[in-house]
Amino acid sequence: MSETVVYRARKIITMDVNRPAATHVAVRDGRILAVGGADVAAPWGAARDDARFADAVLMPGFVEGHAHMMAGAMWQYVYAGYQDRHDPDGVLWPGLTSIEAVIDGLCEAEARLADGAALVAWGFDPIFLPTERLNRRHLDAVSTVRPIVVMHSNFHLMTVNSAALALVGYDRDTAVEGVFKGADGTPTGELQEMAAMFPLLRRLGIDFRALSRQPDSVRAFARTAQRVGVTTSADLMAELPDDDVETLLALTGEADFPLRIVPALNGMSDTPERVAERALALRARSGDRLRLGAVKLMTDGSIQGFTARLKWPGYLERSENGIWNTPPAALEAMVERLNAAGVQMHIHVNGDEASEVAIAALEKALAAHPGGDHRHTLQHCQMADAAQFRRMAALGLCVNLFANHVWYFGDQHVERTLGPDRAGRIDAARTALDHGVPLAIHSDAPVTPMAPLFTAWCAATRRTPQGRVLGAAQRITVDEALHAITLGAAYTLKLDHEIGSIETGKRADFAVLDDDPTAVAVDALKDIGVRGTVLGGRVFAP
Amino acid sequence: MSGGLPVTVVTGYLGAGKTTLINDLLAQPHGRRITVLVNDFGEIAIDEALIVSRSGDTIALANGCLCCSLGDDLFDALDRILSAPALPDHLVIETSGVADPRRVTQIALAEPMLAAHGTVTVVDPLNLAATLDDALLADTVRRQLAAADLAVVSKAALCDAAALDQACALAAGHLPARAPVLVAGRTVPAEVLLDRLIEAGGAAPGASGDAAHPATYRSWSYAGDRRIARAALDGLLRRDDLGIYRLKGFVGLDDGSTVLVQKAGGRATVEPAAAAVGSRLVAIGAAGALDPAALERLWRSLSVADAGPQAVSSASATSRTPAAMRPAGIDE
Ligand SMILES: [Zn+2]
Repeated sequence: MSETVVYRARKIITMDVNRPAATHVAVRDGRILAVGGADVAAPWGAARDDARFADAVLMPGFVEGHAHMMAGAMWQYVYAGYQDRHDPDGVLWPGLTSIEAVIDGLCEAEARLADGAALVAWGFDPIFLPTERLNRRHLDAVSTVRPIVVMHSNFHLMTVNSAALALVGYDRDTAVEGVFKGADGTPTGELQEMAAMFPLLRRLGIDFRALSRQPDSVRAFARTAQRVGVTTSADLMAELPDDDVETLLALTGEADFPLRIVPALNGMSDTPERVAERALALRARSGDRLRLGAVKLMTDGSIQGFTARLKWPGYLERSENGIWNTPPAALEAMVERLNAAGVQMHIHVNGDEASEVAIAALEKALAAHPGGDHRHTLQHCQMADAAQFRRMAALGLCVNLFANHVWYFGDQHVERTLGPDRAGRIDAARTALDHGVPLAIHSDAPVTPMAPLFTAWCAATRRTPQGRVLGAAQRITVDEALHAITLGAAYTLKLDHEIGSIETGKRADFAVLDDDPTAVAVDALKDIGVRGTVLGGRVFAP
Repeated sequence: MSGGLPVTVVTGYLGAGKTTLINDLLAQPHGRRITVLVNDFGEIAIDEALIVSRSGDTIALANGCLCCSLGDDLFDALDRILSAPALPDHLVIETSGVADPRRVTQIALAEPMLAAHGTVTVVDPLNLAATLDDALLADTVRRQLAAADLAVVSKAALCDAAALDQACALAAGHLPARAPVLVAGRTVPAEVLLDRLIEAGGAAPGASGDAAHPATYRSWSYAGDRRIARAALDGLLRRDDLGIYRLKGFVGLDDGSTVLVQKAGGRATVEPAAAAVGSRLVAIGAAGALDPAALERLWRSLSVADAGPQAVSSASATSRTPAAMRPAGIDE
């Protein structure tokens, strides 16, 4: 018989109503054998005590219900964001809190590069540096010969230096919408959207998607998750050709791979029949730490990019509505087919017109093929109002709200995109819970950093960088937020029977914390240190 | 960046007829190696006789053309094409039914290896009114019309004349002034689709720096087996009273040879061309100056039907006035 290990902790928050708190958890064969006090393992025979977590707080391993593998790949480049970040190896990258600091940071990184190589940085967000807009002249101070690309945190913008502009021939005569020009008629160095960025990216050989599929990036993604207490993460949009599945199965099969990954197949690039067929075939290939079978569908773009589909009265600063990624009729056909085939769908909807169309499609599909524990989940679903949540509840839909958005884009939504009324009810977690819609909250990493305690803090406080509380009525309690980053997210991934709480029979997946999230002030929730994780009984924490 | 690989964007709502247009384009003897990036790979129906090879998401044709699935990422597909050892002569990008074609054009404007040649918006006369009435789709379809440098009205044969007129008038209300409306017969000649419809920088030909040139056009086109004597062709090209702003295409001569004909402003050139089947000619001129019906009559009086199978004329008339838009000779 295999060994039983009893971990003693300062406190164990179980998310199990039968025993909400404990001090000891017994683990055998990678699963939770028993939860309770010092004598927890007594009925089960001999056990070894392990006190390494004696001064820590254990929670169920956090579940990130919406992130992207690309979050790991980014660390091959230089971090230039405002907030402190740890890279997958635990090295601290201090936040760059002024333009001067950004330039200094880039100069340091530049000095380490080989001749001829481009300097690529990421994570920059001009919103935090309001005094002056970063432009090519700042970057020319770093180098006039080496191309420099500073990718903004939203991935829709970049600022580049003059050498980079010269590489693609952008000058005062360039008539491309995304190539911004200054008062003097020359490009400022800021490039917006892929059309304008693509020529430079390809000349510099930067391909984030290809990079994301490399084993090193997958490992970096897993370590990034591990550092913030995540033991299971979705990768919400994967192409999953056979090669990639083989790679992922091999990687996640390695004993020291620290993450369970739930990739969702891109459902947008084939016919409904073939997507359903592939999803079912993939489901059969799942392993313990690679759960396949779900499908991701797109509908619209993003609110901050003015590409989300909005209902009346539309955008504040723009008369045009956003853009469909999928014609509503095609979405309807796809949803109908996948639902009939028993395939779970994660449907990207940002604007309220997109959520409306998705709900209507699901209403039809579920009327044709009712029943079943479908757990179709609306992802982001940022603008849904109470009426839409009522319909979602009636259909048994889940929602995974983009809580981090409140912090990262909330002020912008008040002032530029939505106006105060609708901005005040974005990511309406309170309404979701009040209507009984199963709730998860997410980071969409790398769009915003993966850190479930920060995500929980966003949902519980709804604070913004400008000091707003954006829609106080939509705040949820800390307990509810903690549920959303554990059992709630596990439910949307159809894994709540295995993970999401610390109770007998479940996988021994824990987040190891410095402090008790239910005991600190709400504002301190995001600052609680995470030591690491336990995944399937294996410790990934110092 | 006029040296780049020419890019033509083909847009239009689902089922508008984009795929039919592209299938037909690939089958035409246009003499160019065209690579087409298509959205609905499954819908591509090319005559098997023309296909030399097929692999997962690419069909290679005997005439040097390639038809590739756009897959889920246009940028990946573009990178593959631009990184290949040899570039095609022309790139056609079929957008998805709901895409904003301006975004695709922006790529062609931004990438130095590409040259934007214009956007062809395919209009379905049977469904246009319904899509413009659909609150979820109206703005998408309006955007596609507003981006047009050329509008091609498909399915004319399925539509009665009054309905066609109505659809053309409806489309015209959303089209920019620069965009001619072509009522497609069975074939829209490659020259019409692929020629540079916009100037570098995005303006329509004649729309910039030429205040006298009106931004509304009529066009006439012919594709069929009719042939003409060289002397008659030269005479036709010398005429300056026909309102022709541009004329281009292949003309079959009565001695069995084929010539490439181009006329822009007052200058005309005639060059020997590789063997092509019959004649395909397109003329564009200012509304009010070029009379498609008169040009059609003139062409028919100067040319003779080939002895071969029945000639197919896809002459088209365009203008802002619906009554003049009926395709001439479509039922011939
Ligand atoms: Zn996402």
